[in-house]
Amino acid sequence: MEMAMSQLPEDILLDILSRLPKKSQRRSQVVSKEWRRLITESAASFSTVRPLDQGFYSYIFDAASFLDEVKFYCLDSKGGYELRHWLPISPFCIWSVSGSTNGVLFYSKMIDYSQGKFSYHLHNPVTNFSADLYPPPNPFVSKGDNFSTGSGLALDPDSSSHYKFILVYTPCGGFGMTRSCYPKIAIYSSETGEWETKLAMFDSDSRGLLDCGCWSRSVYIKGSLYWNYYNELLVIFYVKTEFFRVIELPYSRNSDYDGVVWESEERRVNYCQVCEFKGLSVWVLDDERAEKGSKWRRTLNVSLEELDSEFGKAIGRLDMSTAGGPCQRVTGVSAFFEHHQIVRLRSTEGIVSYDIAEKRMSMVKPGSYGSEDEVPFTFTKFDLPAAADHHVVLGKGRRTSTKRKSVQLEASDLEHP
Amino acid sequence: MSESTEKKMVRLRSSDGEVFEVEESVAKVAKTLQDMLEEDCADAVIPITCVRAPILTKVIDYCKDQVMISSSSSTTNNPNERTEQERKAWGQKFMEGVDSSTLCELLVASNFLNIEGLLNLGVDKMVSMIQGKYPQEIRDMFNVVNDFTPEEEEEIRNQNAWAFERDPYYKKRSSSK
Repeated sequence: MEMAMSQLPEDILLDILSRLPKKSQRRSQVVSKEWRRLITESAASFSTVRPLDQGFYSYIFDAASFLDEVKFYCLDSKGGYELRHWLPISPFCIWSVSGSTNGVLFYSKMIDYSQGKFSYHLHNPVTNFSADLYPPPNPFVSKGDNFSTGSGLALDPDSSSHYKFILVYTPCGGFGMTRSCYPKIAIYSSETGEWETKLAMFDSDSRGLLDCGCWSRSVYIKGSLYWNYYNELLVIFYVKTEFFRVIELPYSRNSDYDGVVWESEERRVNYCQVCEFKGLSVWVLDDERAEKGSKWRRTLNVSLEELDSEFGKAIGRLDMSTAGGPCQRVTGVSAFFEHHQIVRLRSTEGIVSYDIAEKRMSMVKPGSYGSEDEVPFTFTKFDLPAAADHHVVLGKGRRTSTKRKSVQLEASDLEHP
Repeated sequence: MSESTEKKMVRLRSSDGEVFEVEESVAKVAKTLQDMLEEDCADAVIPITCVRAPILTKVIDYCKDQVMISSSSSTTNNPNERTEQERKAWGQKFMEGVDSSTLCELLVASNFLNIEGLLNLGVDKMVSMIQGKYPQEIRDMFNVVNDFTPEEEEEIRNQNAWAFERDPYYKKRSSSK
């Protein structure tokens, strides 16, 4: 009762403050002068010891050798990038790297070209767990192929040791044709080990008619899957009730720039986009059931001028004010790593990363963005061991379980010396 | 044989005068006490001057648990052995309901007694308590006095505006007029 924080030895307080997420650190600077001094000091002398929680997969297809590979990176405490794991699955023949939930990658392979048959695969590079899923044919087409419009993995190691894998089927599957329809869904449940196909149900006040075509990568946040639908709409799928809901994205117009739906540090839905005129913005979804306009709240804005000038510096071109619009430009957002306050952006010159706190952009992967793709991911905090155990459970009877445990990364491996 | 059944006891006295009698093995979890005991001052009561009785009770609980885990670990098939996950869950449970001032005292105690495991638990707990809180909430929780002038505070807030969005506890000076 009589003990106050000020009586803590300084090195302990320093340790505590250095372990806080960046945002909390910045906030805590105004607590008192002492705290401000310590936080400034901790930023300089300590690297954060928070365990691995964010990163991305990088998918590389080498057209010359016909080999593809997926690398697994994690953000390190200084905001740089580190290769954590190789994922050598060869011959790989990936059709598309579809996404990632809680760090588990899922991708599709074409297994029968003549019939248009795909298989889906889950992989956790930390535990080396993998699962192969063979979805039922698309009910809209007679030929028996199973092209899908969207896919998502619902996996929450905190609440259940099971996962569901969801495919969205439309008449023209994953191809770029647009035709409005009510989609059907196929759901695989690891609990039963079976697929179930049903008509997609929509919440009463949302539109059920969606164009087919290829939906973006899904993001799974707290029981729901989210798709950014052509930077115009947000498609929500509630995994438990199996209902869809469609709402407007905050910057709802067909934009040149790709936005990304992302998970915030508080496990809420973020939408991050570069907009014409407005620059880079991040919104948080306050209430998806609210009236139009009050659903989204803008939490961050970086002006287009600043973005452009930083981009110019990053690619070594100082004057970005070319008449008629520069052909070198940022084309979209790939991920927003809130903890590190880093936005990864796609550009015509490669992938760049923008540090919001430092206001600095740097080129992280030069090159055209066609041959290389990224699947960013987020682990919810501290759930890495849970996810690992989870996959041993999932591996039911497979010989993966015992041996693979040894390749788990220890939290200590991930810390910086 | 008879020697091992009779466990050596150590007496510790808290700052408010309460005396605790614990097994030597329990006391030795604290590195500070281990060093003392090895220098042989076992008969006397060891004064722990900066730790109050309720805190010392908690510290001893922790040490007892550590002894329970490690004592049987030499035998095979130890029922007390914990996986990484169980350890985490245990730590969370141990720290459950600990308020901020008790936590400060616990940190001071584990620092003084040099118990690394407990110190880490405490620091983790502290981090989870501070995380996501607004400055005023932190000040209230830990009795920290705000020694910034309003101008200074506003300047720091402006520099890091993104971290302060929607602080319900903060009113700008100009708007409060």
